[in-house]
Amino acid sequence: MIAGDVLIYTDPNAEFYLTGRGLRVVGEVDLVSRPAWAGVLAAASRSLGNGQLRVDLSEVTFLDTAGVWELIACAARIAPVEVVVQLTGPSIIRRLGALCGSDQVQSLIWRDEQR
Amino acid sequence: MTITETAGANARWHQAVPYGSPEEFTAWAVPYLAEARRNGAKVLVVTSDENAALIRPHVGNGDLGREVEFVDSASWYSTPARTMAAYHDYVERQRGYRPLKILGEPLWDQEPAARYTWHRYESLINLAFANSDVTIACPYDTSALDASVVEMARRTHPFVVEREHVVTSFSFLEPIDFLRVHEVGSFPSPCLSAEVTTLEFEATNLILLRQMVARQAVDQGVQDAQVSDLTVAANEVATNVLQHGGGRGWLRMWVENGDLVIEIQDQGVHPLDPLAGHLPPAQGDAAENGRGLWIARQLCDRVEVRASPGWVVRLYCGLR
Repeated sequence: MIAGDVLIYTDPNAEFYLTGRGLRVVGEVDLVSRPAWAGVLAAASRSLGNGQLRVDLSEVTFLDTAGVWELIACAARIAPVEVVVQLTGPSIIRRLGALCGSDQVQSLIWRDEQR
Repeated sequence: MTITETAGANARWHQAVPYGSPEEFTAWAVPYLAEARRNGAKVLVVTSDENAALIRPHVGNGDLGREVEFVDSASWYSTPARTMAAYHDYVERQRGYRPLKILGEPLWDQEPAARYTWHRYESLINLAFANSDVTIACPYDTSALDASVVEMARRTHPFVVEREHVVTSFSFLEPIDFLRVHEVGSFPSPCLSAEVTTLEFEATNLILLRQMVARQAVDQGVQDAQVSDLTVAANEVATNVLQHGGGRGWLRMWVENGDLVIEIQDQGVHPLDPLAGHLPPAQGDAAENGRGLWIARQLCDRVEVRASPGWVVRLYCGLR
C-alpha cells in the first residue's frame, strides 16, 4: 500500500484506493466488483471537479468489458480520464478498450507506465 | 430496427452475383463500378488477386481509379465477426459523406462448420447496414464453388443478379429466420474419448473460471495473446449467464476436431435471442445485452449458441 492512499473498497479479488489524483486499483475487476467500480469512478471524478481523473490500472490483472465501458462512460460524460496501464501487464485491457470504442472518446487517454 | 425495414428504401443493396467465367465477372463488375462513379460513390473492392487484376485495367488511374480501394479477400475476411466489425467501422467513417459501393467476395474454402459461419455473416449483413447508404454485391464463382454455396447465397441475399438483371431472390430468408432454420436442436455431446474439464460457477468464483480457461489454453499450446482473448471471452459469456441466466452456470472444456472448445451453459431461465452479439453494439448503449457476446465473437475463432431451453454457448479456438 502506498502512503496517503485510502482503501475505499475491497473484496477477495480486488482493492480500490483513492489517491490524490484519482484511483488506484489492484487485482481483478469483474461482476463481483462491478457495482462498486461504477460508483467509485463516478464519485472520484466528481470530487476532482473539472480535473482529469487518473485511474491507475498498472496492478490490475483482469478487467472485464463492463469495467472498460464504465471507464469510457465516465470519460465521455463526467470528466477526462487518464488510464494508466503497465507496459508489461496484460495488454488485453488496452485491446478491450479499442474493441469497446474507446479510441473514439478523446477524453479517455491511455498511458503505458513501467512500474 | 424491425426486421421488415430490411426490405425498405434501399432494397436492392445486398446482391449475390453468380458468375461462371472471368469474362462474365468482368462484364458484370466493370459496369457496376462505373455506375458508382456516376453516383459519386466511394468504392471498396474486396476480392482475389486474380479478379482484382481483371478489374484494374478498366478502372484506370482517372476519376474512378482514385475512388476505388482494393483489398485482398484473404486479409479482409479473417473471421465473420471481425469482418463485420471492419465493415461497420468502414461504413461509419464514410457516413454522411456519400454513398458507398462495395464488391465483396468472401473465400469459401473452409471446413463445413466454419463455412456456415460465413453464410450466416452474409445473412446478418442485411441487418447491419439496412439504414446506411451502402450497396454490397457479392460475386460467387459458380465454376469453382460447390452448388450448395451458391444455393445458400440465394438464402442470404435479398437480390440476385441473373443475366445482368437484378431480381428478387425467392429463396431469401430474413436473418432471424435464417438463424432459426440453420441453428436448430442442441449441440452434439463431446465425443466419448474427449477429456472434459468441468466447473459449476457463480459470481464469486468467476476468477476460478478464468484461471481454468487460461490453464487449459496454455496446456493446449495456445499463444499468450490468444490465451487472454479466450479468458476474456469466456468471462464475458459466463458473466452474461450469471446476470441473465439465474446466478449459476456450468463450464465444460475439451478438445475436438483440432479445436479447443469452451462451453458455457446457464440454468435455462433466459429465453434465447438468436441475434445476440452478432451485430455491432450501438454507441453509448451501456445496457446492451448482446455486448458481451459481441466481444466474445471478436476474440474467438468461432462462437455458436443453441437454446437448451436457456443458453449454451460454445467458444472455439483453433489449435493448428
